Amino acid sequence: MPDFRTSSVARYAVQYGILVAVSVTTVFPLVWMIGTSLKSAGDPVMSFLPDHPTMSNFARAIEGTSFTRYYINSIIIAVVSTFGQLLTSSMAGFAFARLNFPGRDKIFFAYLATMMIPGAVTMVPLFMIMTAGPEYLNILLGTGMFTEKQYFLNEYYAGRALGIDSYFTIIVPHFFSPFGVFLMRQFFLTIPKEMDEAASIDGCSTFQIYFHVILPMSKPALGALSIFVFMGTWGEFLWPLIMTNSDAMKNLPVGIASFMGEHSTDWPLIMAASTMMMIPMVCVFIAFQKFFVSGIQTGAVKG
Amino acid sequence: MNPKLKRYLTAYAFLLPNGVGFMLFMLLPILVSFGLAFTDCQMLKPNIRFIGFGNFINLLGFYHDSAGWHANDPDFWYYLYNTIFLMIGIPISMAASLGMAILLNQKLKGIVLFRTLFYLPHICSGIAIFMVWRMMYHADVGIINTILGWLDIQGPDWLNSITWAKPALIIMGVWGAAGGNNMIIYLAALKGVPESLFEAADIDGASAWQKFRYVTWPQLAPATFFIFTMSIIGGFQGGFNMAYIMTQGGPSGSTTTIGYYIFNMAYDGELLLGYGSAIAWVLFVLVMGATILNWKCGKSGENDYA
Amino acid sequence: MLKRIVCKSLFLILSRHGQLLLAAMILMLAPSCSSKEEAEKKNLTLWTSGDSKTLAAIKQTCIDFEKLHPSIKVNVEFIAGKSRTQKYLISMQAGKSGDVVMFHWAQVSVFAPKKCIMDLKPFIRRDNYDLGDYFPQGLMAYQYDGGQYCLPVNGSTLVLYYNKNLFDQARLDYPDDKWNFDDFLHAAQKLTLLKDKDGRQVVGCLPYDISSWLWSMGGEYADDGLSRISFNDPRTVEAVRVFWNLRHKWNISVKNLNLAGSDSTSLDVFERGNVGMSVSGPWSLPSYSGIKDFTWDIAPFPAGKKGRQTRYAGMGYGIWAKTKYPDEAWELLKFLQSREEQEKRATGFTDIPSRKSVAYGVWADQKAAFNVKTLLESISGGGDNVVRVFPKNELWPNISRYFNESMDLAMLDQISVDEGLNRAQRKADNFLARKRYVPGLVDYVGIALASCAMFFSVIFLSRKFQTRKNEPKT
Repeated sequence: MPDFRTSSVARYAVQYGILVAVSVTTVFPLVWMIGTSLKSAGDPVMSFLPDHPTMSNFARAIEGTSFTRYYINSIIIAVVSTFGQLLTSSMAGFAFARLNFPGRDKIFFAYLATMMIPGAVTMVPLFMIMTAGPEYLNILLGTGMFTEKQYFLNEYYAGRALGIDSYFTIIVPHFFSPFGVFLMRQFFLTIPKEMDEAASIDGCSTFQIYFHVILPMSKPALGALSIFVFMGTWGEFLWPLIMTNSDAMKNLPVGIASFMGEHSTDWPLIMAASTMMMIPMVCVFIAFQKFFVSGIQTGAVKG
Repeated sequence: MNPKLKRYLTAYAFLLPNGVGFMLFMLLPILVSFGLAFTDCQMLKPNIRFIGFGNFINLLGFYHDSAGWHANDPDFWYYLYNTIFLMIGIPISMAASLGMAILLNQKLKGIVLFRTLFYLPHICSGIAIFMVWRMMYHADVGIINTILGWLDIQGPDWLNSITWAKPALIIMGVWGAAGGNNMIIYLAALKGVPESLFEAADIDGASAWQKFRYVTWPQLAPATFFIFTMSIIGGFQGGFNMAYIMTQGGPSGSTTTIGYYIFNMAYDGELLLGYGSAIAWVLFVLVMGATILNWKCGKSGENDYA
Repeated sequence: MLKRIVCKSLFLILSRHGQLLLAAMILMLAPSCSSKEEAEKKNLTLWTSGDSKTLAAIKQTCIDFEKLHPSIKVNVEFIAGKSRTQKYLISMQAGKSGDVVMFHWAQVSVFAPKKCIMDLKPFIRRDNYDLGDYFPQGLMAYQYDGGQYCLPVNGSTLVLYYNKNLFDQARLDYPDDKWNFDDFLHAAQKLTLLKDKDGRQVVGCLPYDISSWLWSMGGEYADDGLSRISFNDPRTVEAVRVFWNLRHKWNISVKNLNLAGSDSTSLDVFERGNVGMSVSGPWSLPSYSGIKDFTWDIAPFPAGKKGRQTRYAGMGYGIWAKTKYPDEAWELLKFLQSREEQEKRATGFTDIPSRKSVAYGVWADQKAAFNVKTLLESISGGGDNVVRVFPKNELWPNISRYFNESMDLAMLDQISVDEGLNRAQRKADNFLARKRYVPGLVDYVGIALASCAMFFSVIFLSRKFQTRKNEPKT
């Protein structure tokens, strides 16, 4: 018969108790959000639970507007940005952490320095580059391809190739974030060089070291970076607002902002849309958080 | 081919994907804004005039008249104070993130659920959360003042009071950031602490606190350093979302940070893009100074990796 | 070695991750298939906003317009209200904007002086366009420096909503258009003594923002050219003091008042039934129409010493100055503003249409539980009723910021009203009197020195940084 030791039961109770207590503090504004999304029109805004619960807000959000299109746009933007940034950041971080080349530290310093400029003042020059660029490219290459409107399967509006209203301009600035490079570099620095040396003794080239040795070991950092990039691009407002004009190219935050009227705000509708906006982020988090659960360096090298 | 050259080329090849885009999309606009800081560029005005250090003198200078010394731009210093005040929340939220990461590092059943719940504040940041907090801070029936009322304390009118608006934002910021990205970084770093060290500490008979202080904390030093640097950089530029959506700069400018000030300068009123760029570059110098200071202090913690 | 690089890149491309990335890039850069042929038509872009019903009506209007003018194609784009100014600014700065754009009344003084929207007077003169059907206040709001920059779409101003049940409870007469400030004060003070049926303290009045009160009581902000700022003019001080007394001396208003407008999360809102009177505009009507617990009606804003002077609010359409097709844009503008099209959009009471014939006709004929005539009279002006806008100057946002900040402090009882207005006046005067800086030789030398300093410091610091690199461990 199992020996119930009260101290271990008590310990479990305490551990779970603390977790639950902290969860309550983090969760209660969400209770308001979800509660408001279930309210019907006459319910007071400030109460937590609806007086007359209804699911009609969710239907209204989807039917009356291009909500599904915003959703698809956001998914495309977030997924492609994540892949792109993972790829370029890990390569650049590897270069900064492991390889020696002239000007390495100065370039890294420049990377870091660019993070320190607030985005508001770079928005205007970047916007002008993004909009004037395709036109010059058109002139240069003698084609109209870059600024024409493109359609997917001849029917669905897929924006332009470059310029305003294109996926390119919203996604591509995310590929080149100094934050990702910094994170990857710091993480790669913690991987002992003995692994590299062992691999190169076995005859691996630099790229193979990167791809087969370092990358699999940096799953925690890659998982973490994926989450950061996904969350960041999913909720981005100001830049997509400026870059998209047509309704079919907006992403979720910009689309939801258009639900807000000039003076009055339909809170249940906005909360319903925001709740639906949250779902993929939660899923991505749950999916990726197992990456930094798996341990690394478990006895691979005797230190 | 020379093996050294080959090594360099490989390195540049790795750097290339990131570097090209970086130069085009990050560096170029920044250089343009650097140039604009020395002009009197205004949005939608076609003529740009070079005015040298004029913007910086208007920003940082002082002038003397019969009543004594006055600042050329007193708002700037006030907003700088606001910004630095709001950064008080950084160590608090770092400690909270670390605590949460330690809590979540256990092998309990259903820990995934708790991890998600802890991360939720960061996911739903946005207009919804600002509205919820506004309601919570309401002077008469907001939850916070109600709870304070149970303890017989008369809660202040949080968001409408000059002295209490910033602490209110700090609390909100800690709530949002505690379970956020920093917690994830700490979780990843905690997983990287080798079990062997803990076993050695157990053999030596260390208590839980001693284990934390002498094993965990030093192993987390690179992560701490990273998070602190990022928080400082973000903190100087931050406070924009809160000011833009929630307080519009707060009662009489008490929640305006430098980031919001730059935004207002460039896109409101006189549309002074040149002046806004100058402020951004002064901010850059400040952040650079703070980061270098941090680097010097963190020097000791960055050496040991094995 | 080249072979190595090529092999490596191929390896990358053909690996699983690379394939995904390649697919994504293809999806992004060249979704292939054809693009529709639109070369011969003239493309106009309309930037507008509104709720979904209005938007649907506008889209239909544009389709009808295209039928009338086969050589023009109209592209309707919906720009949300939030951050509209930033989007317009950045787009126009880069040289891309909609051709016909919807402007908020306050944006005219931002864009007109910078020559970003066209003066419509030449078009009006050329076509003999009849402006008589418009409310003159609407037209006035979009005039700048003698030119007419937008045609108003809708416009409204502030009125007084009152809770009939509470008035009955206090045994007061309902407000009417002969009400002046003393009547208002008397009623509000009596209302404040009540408790409503749920036991909550009744709030006498929610006064919205200060501008209407300031003007009605005889105060002034400044003239259009900002040559004379009257913040600390004795009449303005007195007017502001009346507003201050509403809250502090007579206690008929709520404590945590957000100066700029009604606080959307405030608990003391008219709908809850514990507010006797509320100053607001027709935009509140959708939420008030859901009120079931009490009856209410509309009365004109109480007349002050200088009569009834309330603030205008509305939207208008203008033409971007750098449009490629100005005449076609003007045709579209006229069509959108024509009587028939306005009638199609004249549903609901959130805004008052800008054409008198539509407002008094189709719009007023809608069923309403309240006094629609009052709304119409508020915007039509005449006599002592004036509808006003803020001073039309591009520097006004900066000046008003000083005013608002000082008023915040005064309303929070941190400084007195006199001190606050003096402070605002001083800051505004200093702002307008500041001199422009002219660069000299010192600046050029200084810049050269600063650039060298930065360059060397970067090198120096990166070298310091280098010594802390990860040296190989033995």
